[in-house]
Amino acid sequence: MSDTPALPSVRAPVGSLPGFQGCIVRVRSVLPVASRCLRRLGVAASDGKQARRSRVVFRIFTDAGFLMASKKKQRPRPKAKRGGARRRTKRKVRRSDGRGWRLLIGMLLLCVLLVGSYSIYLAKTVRVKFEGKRWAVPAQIFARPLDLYAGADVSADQLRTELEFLGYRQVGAVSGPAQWSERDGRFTIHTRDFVFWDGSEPGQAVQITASAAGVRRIRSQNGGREIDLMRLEPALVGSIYPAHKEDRVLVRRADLPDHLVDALLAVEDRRFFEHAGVDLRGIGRALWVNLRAGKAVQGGSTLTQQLVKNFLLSPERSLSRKINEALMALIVDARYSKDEILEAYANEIFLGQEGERAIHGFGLGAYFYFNRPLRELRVHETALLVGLVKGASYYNPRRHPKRALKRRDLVLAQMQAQGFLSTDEAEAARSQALGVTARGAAHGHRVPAFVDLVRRQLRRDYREQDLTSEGLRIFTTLDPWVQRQAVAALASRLTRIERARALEPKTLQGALVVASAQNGEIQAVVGGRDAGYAGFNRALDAVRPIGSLIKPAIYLTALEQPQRYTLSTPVEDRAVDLKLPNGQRWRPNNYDRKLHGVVGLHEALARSLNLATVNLGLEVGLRPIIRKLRALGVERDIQPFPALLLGALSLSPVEVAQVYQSLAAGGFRSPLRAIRAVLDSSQQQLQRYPLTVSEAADPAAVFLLNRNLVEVTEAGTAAALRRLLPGGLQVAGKTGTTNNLRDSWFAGFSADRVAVAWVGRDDNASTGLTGASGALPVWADLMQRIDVLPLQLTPPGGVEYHWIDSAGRLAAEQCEGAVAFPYIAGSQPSERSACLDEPAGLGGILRGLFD
Amino acid sequence: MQGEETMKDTIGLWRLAWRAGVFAASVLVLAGCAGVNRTDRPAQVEERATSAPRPSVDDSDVRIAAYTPPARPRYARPVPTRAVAVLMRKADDQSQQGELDAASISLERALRIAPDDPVLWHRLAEVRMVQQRHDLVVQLAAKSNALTSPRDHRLLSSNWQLIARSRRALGDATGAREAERRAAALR
Repeated sequence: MSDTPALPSVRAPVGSLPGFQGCIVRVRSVLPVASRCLRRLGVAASDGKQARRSRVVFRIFTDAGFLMASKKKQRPRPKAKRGGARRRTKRKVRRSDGRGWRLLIGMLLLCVLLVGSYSIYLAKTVRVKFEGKRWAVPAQIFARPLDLYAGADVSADQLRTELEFLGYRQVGAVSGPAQWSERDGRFTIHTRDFVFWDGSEPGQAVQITASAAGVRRIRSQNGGREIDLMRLEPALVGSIYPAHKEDRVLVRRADLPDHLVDALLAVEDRRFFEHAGVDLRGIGRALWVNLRAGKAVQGGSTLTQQLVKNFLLSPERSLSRKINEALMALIVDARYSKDEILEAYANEIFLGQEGERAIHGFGLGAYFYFNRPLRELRVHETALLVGLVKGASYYNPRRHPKRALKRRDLVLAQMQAQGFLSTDEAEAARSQALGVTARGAAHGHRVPAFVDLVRRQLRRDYREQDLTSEGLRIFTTLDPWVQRQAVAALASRLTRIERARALEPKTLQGALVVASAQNGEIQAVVGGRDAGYAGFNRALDAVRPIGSLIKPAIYLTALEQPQRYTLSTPVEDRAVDLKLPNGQRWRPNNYDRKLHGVVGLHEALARSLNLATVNLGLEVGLRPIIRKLRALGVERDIQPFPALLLGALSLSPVEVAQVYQSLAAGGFRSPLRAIRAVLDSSQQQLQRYPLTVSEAADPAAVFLLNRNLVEVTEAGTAAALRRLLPGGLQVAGKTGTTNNLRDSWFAGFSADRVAVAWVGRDDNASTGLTGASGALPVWADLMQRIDVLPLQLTPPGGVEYHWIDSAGRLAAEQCEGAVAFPYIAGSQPSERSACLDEPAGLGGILRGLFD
Repeated sequence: MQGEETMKDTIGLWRLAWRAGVFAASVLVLAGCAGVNRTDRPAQVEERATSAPRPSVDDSDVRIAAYTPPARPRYARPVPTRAVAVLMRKADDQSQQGELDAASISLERALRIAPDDPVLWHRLAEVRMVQQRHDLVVQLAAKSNALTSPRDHRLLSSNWQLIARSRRALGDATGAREAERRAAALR
């Protein structure tokens, strides 16, 4: 310590009291016990007789003061040159020191006191940190589990992707959990054990026959017993980490694979199980190696010291901290077992950085780099993780694969040299590729928009602090397969549109929401075309006028009055000129700026005629329409202005999805949900979000409307879908376009899914796109990619089909141009077509049969 | 017990008959309207339709197609009755042991597999009835009714009975009587 540079306050002449006291104050502020004892000695020194001793005390003060002060101020170590003059002064001081017994005893006593009391203080720090809750454990977010059964709508392609999401290994012959093999559409899969919210399920080995059409058959691997129903555990897709951005997946000592511990020992601390927290031999060896190499190649820090350094101390580098570290390592080693220390180390160690999220511990490291749990890693994989301990960013295997590979092989070589691996094993491990997953495919599949939604939903029921620290397990409704397709559909289609229309690249933005049609579970949320980026979440926050997407609510309100309105009721598409309360006039137009005269109600919706809709809406009344919108799930304020009839109502894509879910489910609204259940860290269920429904509209009227929305997609404004979707895939939906082509919307549904697409620009400028040219193709791409089931609307009780001729009169099947429309019983037209009175043409029937 | 089993069987039979009826009807409609409709889609497909674009058809044909039931049966693959049956049995066991929340979880899982199965919605309503969640019972039973064949009087009537009991518990005597009347009319 003799060459420790002095602090400013110590620079005062030796023995001068002000500097002395300054030092005391400094010491006191940090170390009350020591300072009290020192002050007593200091007072004694001031009586003049013991001047020499006071100087010694002063030396101790200065050193102790430096020790403490540097801890507080994080003072960088000054260069040795600058301290030259001062060092000389100190030597002078030292020469004048006496060597009497009393002095020696005094010094020893002081040292013992200092170190002892300081150790007590450190021990307390250690205890508080170690025995309290050691880490804030972020809530883990899981996707939905995948139900598998004969007839499941899971293609072989999807099955492969799902296994990849879960980090299962494809092998030649399945020998344990988390492995799969495939031969001619026959999959052998050994699932992992998993604790679901409705109980735990042991892993099992099964044979699944699947094709592009879905799962045909499932049998157990041995015995060939038919399995009626099973599920793949849900993939871990994200976490809610706290403000200091430390993310981790907690592991226990028992979860640490032997080869991980071996690798740690081989590289970081070979005498871990023997030393007492500090390894003097290790330090000696490191010193020797470093001296010979002429540079720092080996560290002498034990695992315990590293743990203390990361866990308990600030990251600055100084001698005083080194001393603290050694002291605390000794304390930790004395108090806790090697296993406890190892477990803490395994959870604390920093292994990587992704944006602002810090990857801590081997548990999360395994997911982050290999997308599988730690216990499933193989030697070459754990060797890489252990290699990263030395410098996670320098050896980042995604950015610097060559460096990382070299480092990994070095770890393997060390393991071999120390007898943890045989030559053959080490050779085999070295021959493996790094095996790190691509960033996008790894843990999390990058679903920030969905996690954002989950977080918002959870905030209603939980404190932020509990979400980020209590290790909750959150089971969501996310369908990672659908999510992946949605992300791809939006990004690729927007690029195509920009290219085709020579728009400036990356100016279009968009959002997608996909939900299960019948129960309102949200399966995918895409908040923008760069879905991996957690920025503005357009699916939730882009609140835009919905334009013609509002029309179904108007027509539904009308159709719920069957005595007044049916699908074939004539509606007038004539000019509208309204005087508004503020004195302005409102003269809306059709999109084609033409008048279409009298049209059937169904045609007005199919062709999205503005004027016919306004006339109908004014007749029906704004209030009932607003009530209907509320019933369908709109929670925002709705202003009763006539412009509402043309969609002067701003909603986010997810809010629109709620409205169309109510329609897709036949008039039964299920609140859109992103979460199924929340479990605490001991697997006890804290909360469940059950399936609920409420009747938002008369199912018969909704059936009529939905038939009309099918017409929209086959012969109306969304007829472009016929080119974009496979033949026979019946869907229902509606386009929406707002003023100056600012927003392009499409909302619609198949039998199993409801989806909403929005395309626009963040600066709200015109895109030049209608609903049919922007959002519709995005929607179509999505529906095709996720292979939806065609709509098969079955008429509810009270609905009858009647043949109607082109003039809207009751006709029959054989009549020229007659169409069968559904009617709520009793509401069909009473006027009869002349065709009905002609003799029933046998020829017509035969033609119908054989044409 | 016996009665419930019989009812289950009956409901099952009715559903089977209903499905067969729908299928037969759609085949007939297909055959009958082939001239008008020109539905050249395959009636039974083993593989899911490919992404090949459909040849364009003129509008008048398509408009008709929009209002006729689609030709393809609901499931191109085996109907997953066994998976649903497993979950229904599980839910029954759980209800009998008083694990009502667990039973509802099983039924919800079954509904993810067969979302338009009116019996599952009815069962869920029954579980909620035991839990006295009357608001939800009314809605679930109505949902079941909306999916039930008009000829399945037994299921329709059971749903109306559930609605009647729940309305009564909610203090809606008029609504309860109306529901009872409808339940009785179906018996």
